[in-house]
Amino acid sequence: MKRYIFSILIVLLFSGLRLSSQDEKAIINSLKKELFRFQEKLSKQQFPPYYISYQVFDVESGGVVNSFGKTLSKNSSKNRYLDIDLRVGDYQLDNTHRSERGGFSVSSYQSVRLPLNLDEVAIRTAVWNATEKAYKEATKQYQNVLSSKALKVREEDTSADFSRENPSVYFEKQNKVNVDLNKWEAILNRVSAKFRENKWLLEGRISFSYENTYKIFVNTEGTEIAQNEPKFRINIFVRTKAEDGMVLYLYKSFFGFTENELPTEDSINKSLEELISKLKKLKDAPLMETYTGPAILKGEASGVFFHEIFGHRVEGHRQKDPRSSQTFKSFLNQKVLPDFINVVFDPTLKEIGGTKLSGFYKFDDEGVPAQRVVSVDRGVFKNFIMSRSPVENFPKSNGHGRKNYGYRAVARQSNLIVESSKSVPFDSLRKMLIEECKRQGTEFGLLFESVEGGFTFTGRTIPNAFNVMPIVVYKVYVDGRPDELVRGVDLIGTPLTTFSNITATGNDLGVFNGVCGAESGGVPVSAVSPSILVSKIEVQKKDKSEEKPPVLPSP
Amino acid sequence: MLKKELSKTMKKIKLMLTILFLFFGIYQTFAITHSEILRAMRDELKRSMDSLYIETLQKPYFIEYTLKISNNYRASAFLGSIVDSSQVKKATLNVKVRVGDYKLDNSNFLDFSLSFFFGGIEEGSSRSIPIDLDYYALRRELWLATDYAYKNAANTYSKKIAVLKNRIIKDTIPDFAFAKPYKYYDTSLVQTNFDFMQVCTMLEELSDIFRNYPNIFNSMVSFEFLQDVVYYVNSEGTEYIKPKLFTGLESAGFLQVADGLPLNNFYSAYSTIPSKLPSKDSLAKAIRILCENLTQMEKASTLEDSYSGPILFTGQAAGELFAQVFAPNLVVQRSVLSDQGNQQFSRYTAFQTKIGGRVLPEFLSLNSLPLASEYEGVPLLGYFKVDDEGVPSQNLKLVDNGYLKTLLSSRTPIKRILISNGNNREGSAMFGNLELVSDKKHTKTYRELKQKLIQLCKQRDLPFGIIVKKIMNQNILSTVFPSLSPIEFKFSSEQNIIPIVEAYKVYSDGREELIRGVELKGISPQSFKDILLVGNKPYVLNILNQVISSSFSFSGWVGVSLIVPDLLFEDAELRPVEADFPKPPYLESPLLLKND
Repeated sequence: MKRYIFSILIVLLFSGLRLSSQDEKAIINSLKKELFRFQEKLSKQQFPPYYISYQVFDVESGGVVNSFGKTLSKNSSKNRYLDIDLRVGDYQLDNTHRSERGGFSVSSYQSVRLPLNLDEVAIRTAVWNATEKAYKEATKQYQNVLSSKALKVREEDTSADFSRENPSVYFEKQNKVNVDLNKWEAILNRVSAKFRENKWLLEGRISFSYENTYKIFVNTEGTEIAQNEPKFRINIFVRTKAEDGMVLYLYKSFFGFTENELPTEDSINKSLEELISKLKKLKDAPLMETYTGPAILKGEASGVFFHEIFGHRVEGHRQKDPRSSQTFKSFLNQKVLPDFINVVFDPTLKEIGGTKLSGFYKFDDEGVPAQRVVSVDRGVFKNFIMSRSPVENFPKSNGHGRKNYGYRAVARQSNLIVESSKSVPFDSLRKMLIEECKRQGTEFGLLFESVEGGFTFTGRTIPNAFNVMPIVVYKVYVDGRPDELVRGVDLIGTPLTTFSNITATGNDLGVFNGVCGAESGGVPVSAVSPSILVSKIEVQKKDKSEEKPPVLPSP
Repeated sequence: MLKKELSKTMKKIKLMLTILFLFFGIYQTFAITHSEILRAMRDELKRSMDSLYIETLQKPYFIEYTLKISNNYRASAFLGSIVDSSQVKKATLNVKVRVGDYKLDNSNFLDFSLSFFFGGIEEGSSRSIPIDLDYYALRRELWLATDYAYKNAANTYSKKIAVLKNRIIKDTIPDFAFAKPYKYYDTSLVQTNFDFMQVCTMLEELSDIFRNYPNIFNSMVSFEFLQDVVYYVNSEGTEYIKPKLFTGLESAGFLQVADGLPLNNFYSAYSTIPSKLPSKDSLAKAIRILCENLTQMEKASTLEDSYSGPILFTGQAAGELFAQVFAPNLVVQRSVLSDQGNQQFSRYTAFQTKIGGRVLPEFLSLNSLPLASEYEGVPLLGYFKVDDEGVPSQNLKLVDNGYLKTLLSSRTPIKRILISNGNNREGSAMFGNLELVSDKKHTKTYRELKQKLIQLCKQRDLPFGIIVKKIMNQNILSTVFPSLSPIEFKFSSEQNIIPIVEAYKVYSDGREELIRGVELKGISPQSFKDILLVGNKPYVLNILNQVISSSFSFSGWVGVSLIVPDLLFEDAELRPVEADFPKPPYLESPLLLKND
């Protein structure tokens, strides 16, 4: 309610300065004109399209990257991209049907750039050109699908290619941002001067970036959506090498929906100093040896862990792909986690405990309303996250069809939230760890403070086993010695057994905001989890880089 | 040559004065001065040469630093609206370290290890560094890049030695050619008063011309201004500062005729700086001509069958043909060693062993003219005083009365050419300005060439001859085409196929008839020996050409200029393009819709 009032205030304040919503409407109308012209004119063809959607990403973006107190790059741009989903055939079998070799056909088209001026004829001509191309491509694909279907044995999963959904209509005016990059350049210059005081650092980068994305979506089913998805970020990255040549790095990121939600210069400063001093400690920390025993994953680390090894495995469309491991397909309505744990995907949540969640959105990239999905209910696996590509037992989307421009939407994660009904204060969780160590007769337990997930840096696909690299790990000694930072830890093991070994959780919450990279491009996500206690975890020594630290001292 | 004998100190003083003057004149926008950049490079280079080595490994015998500070502008427009625009400022550092000696070092060796595919997080080459440099920031970057490059070089060197131990190598050509130290400082020519907004407005106006031709359903006008300043220092004492400037305006239009055949036409203008491009009015005129030609082509007929007979290439077509087929063979290509044995180049190797042999008819000669900055008032893109390795460039006679004299070389030697003749461009030997010249007797007017063509056709009982006036530009083909063409654009897998934009049938009465949808087949570098006659008005073709390098490395594009007269070939083959074309558009273009 508070937020509601606040937003009304903002609208009132700025309504005088703002342009009318004519601009946005002009684009929507141009898109609709072409959409219905194609639907009508192609209806008499042998293979008429049964579904067409246009999605426009109006992206105003920019940022500053700073290295050691010096500006590395600074840019800002405005682009308008168009993606088309044009389908021939019918909902049951269409041109997107997975090809013979398994897997989904990768669409060959790239986003089309639309004119930036609001010129109806120019925009429509570009849309027309792209639709002509998409239609020809779709009919070609559909004919291939028909002929390969005739040759093949019956498929295992007979679910439809495209789900039927109710149309939605929603309109937001386009956010206008006015980011002062020079101001940010000055801030970064000031705070990153700290990097230079630390001669042992091999890389010290800090960046500010924003992406003010306005998404327009229209389809032939009557859905018409215009929504803002603004993102503001600060990322800090530091890297060095230990004496034995092992590469060590740490990062920290901040996220906000507005520029004001980013931290102040003082707190950026503080984070940067903390990061540097932690890396310094890590550089001098002893190497980890092979270990099997209990461990605590702190909230942020646990969130990333769940995102990577649970979340990617419950993305619905993967269950259709014969090449995918389909870990959870046979676990429907069965226990996969201890019964005090729920795993929920909730894109409707904008913040938790005061922290903004970057996996928030109102409608997904197929125009379906965002929905809270309980994937694991009291330990029992209940739901996949779904796009409009149905799988066995899941004929409908639950609002998780997501993509970046230039890609086709598939089921992707939003805000992953690990909920627990067996939570204790963190101090008690620590005591439980020590107790567990004593029971298992180990000298110490491990505390994972942060891990690098496949989604901290974009561009990686689904992890096979663990693709979670711990970067800050402490030994917690049974005999009461202070915790000891160690480096070179590599997690091994299989995901399902690790899940079943969770014995308790803390009452704290860690939030990780990041960009997840997979087959439909980078999408913003977040992972929220309390700290978890795992009775058994296996680690081994990490392969280290052979390259020695620099021969000569810093000039 | 005499100038070199001038007292060195005199020269230094002169240079210092020039540099000081220019520093204050032009580079006020940079926080760091030229001399500070060079000082940081010299200091870190000296420190590295003196003390950078790991005991068990070889010491570096050669280090070079290349720092490129770029300010690039790009924009494109469609039907009167900008679709894409960007300005990128960046600084890129390349460090090369050689261990071993000139005879045998870590170069000319291909290491197919994992790092070849993935690289590390550390970068010695193409390292992005801050744009607002100061002395210490630059030294820091040089330090890290040199350390990385050294370890990499030492590592490669030991692998190379290991491979050589197991092989009997006949190839005893040195790995690296010695070059005398040379200093060159050119800090002129940087444009500060460039108005990007004005260019964007111009692009919108130019692209709006296509609106009057609704039959052309896809089109684009794009612009590029690349402005680099390059700083170079090596451990032999060579240093230079030089600008690299390139400006281009490209436009292309596409349509499809009823039988599905896609047609296109393009216009391009390339120069050094934006003010040297043709005026807005002449650009507008050129784009209107493009549209008119494309519209005419829609009504033109094509060839029924393949044509085999004499072909006259005029203007742009002669230059483009020469650039695509003949010129790439004029550079030295060194084979590289890998653990699989010697890796030979497969492309453009026609003349590698032909020095002394005849490659053109005896009435033709070919000059390489990197020192020419313009030709009859037209700025030449292949102009440079010093090459990328700091070797002074020189004008050379490559082909003398039909016989090949030498090839263009860099500091990477081959058996026949052991020294650099100053033609390293973007990492490989590459041509800059080439001029094809003929004796008087074989130089004819267009009218005479056409008569000769008709006469040859009569002798061979051909109903018509062919004149080719425009050939697809390779740069546009690889940049603009894939996204704009109505068909999935495939690069021809067949060798020696050249897409033709404008060709004409010429009948015995001299009448010219435009034909569409044809391609040239089977013209090879050897075909140029059969040129019969050339025109009297050489065409200056300024284009972007891909650097000739091994298929294992990324190759950039450089500006080149070809000064080539019309060329009459005795025998060549032209054929209609045959492929399964997609259907023409199902719906009318929105440009044709009156109101809805």
